[in-house]
Amino acid sequence: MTNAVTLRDLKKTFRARTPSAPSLLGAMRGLVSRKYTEFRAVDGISFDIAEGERVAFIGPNGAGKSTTLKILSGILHPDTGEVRVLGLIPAEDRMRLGYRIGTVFGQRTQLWQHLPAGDTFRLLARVYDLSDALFRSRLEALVDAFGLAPLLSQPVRKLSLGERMRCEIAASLLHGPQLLFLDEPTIGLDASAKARVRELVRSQSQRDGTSVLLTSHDTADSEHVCERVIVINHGRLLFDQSLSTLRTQFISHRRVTLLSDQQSLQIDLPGLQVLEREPYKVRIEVDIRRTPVARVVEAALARGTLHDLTVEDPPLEQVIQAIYATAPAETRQPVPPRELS
Amino acid sequence: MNLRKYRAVVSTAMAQTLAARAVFLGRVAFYAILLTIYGRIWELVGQRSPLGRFGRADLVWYLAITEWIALSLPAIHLEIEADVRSGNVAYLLSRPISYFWLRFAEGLGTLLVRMLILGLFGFGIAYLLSGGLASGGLLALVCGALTAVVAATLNLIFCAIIGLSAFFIEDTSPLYWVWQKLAFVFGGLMFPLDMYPETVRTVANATPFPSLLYAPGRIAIGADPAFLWQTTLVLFGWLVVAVVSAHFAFRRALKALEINGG
Repeated sequence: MTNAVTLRDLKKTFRARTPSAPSLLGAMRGLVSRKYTEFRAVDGISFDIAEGERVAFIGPNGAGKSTTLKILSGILHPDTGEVRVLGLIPAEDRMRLGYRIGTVFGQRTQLWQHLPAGDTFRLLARVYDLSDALFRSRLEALVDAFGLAPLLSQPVRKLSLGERMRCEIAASLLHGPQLLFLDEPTIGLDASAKARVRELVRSQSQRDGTSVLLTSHDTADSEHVCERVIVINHGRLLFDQSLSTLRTQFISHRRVTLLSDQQSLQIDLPGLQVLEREPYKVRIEVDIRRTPVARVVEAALARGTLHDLTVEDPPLEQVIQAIYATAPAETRQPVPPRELS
Repeated sequence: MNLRKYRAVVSTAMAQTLAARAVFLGRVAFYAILLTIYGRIWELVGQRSPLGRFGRADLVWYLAITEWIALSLPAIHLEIEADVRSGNVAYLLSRPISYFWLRFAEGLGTLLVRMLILGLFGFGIAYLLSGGLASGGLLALVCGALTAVVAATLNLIFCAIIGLSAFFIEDTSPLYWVWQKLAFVFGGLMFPLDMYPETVRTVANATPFPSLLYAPGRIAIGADPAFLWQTTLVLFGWLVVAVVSAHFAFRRALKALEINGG
């Protein structure tokens, strides 16, 4: 199997103006002589992504995810290191690479707000030089897969966030990209819309062999879409393993919220810790190595009727903290910024 | 450069602008009020002293043309600034289309629809206020209107270049403010440069501003054919300068992105 992405010892540094001293004199001085500080955004990252593989790329804000994605899509040049995406060097072949990659940014839109999504699809067909026949067949397939038929003729501004996101992802897949970058694709969506988006991404990738690199703060996105997880922090790689390894090693707890007809629901099982209790509601942290969530639900049902049930993963920060604690000491500190004269 | 892509962007932007018709109401109202007030001012001034070589109808039609250009221009500099601030620019740069010309094509689509709609209203109002056409007649008006479309396109490229300054200084408003005021003064927004003192006119003619506003307005109210040819040449000269400047400014902007990060 060939690689969709090859990264070797990637490094990237940015320069920012050093703020002047907080005084009038400092501000005046800043006008005459400017000082700059150099920041290492990415510090020696290496990984491969195989064709058709779906990889979660996670880390806290400022970890270097966006910079890496920009280097992979050819927007930024690396300082040092080897980068190959679909056999191309992104910084030298940005336009050619553009035809073969797709991007979805959950907080941005490529759809024209006052027009139906179909108009944006037609425009994208021109941008990606699709023939009319190819455009029609791809659109037909995506409309079927994503259930877009009733949405195509409505102005985008009238769509719900979930409907809009389905259109966004379909728009990114219209030209048949071999590699899809997804940045927070489920942000702001409700639970059912999130589930639908995850399922669509996974099934499209499986059907077309599209490689996926997904960044998200929602660990459930990674769990439902990806097979492998890469975690970075301070621009360095902390973890690169299969999802099952991440799950068994670092996601040991789940948070379960139960709404029942019992005023004070009592469940006595090993590995349970009550986080919050209100009348008819209890929030429990479950150590899934000792008791599976299903057993907790069974026990609750044995005591009465359940009106609602929510299962949450631990926050990403908590997972990263767990990974971080096991990482080598030299990767725990950022490279100190360097002041330039 | 594959022009089919950009043509598709222009027509999509035209459809989007037409779909948001309510936005035009404010512009049309402002245009109408402005023409009415100035039409009345020229009438009162003309009753006391002659208006130089121009009649009241000429001055009303001149203003109708220059304001038509000024009011039709979309705020492309703010679009680019918003892209830089939000990081959207990185998203758009990964497409197989030039970011700068994509934004320009969108702006052009908006500009053309605005010119069509504002032109219909504005020229109708100017006709009613002046009681007919300017002294140049219908042919001059058609030539002036066509020149105005080219001039507005040129202005759009310059404004997009101002937008690129967002890659360096983030806030483009001060630069745009200076550009706009210079364009209004040296471009002769309110009345023709012929009515300016000789020295100011000489300074103005060394800048692109007269090509952006004065030239189309002057042609529309009647100018000799030599002026029309000279304007056409100068306009295309400035277009070449603007396109080359845009190319280099965009390259510099991408370098700034490289140094400072997205």
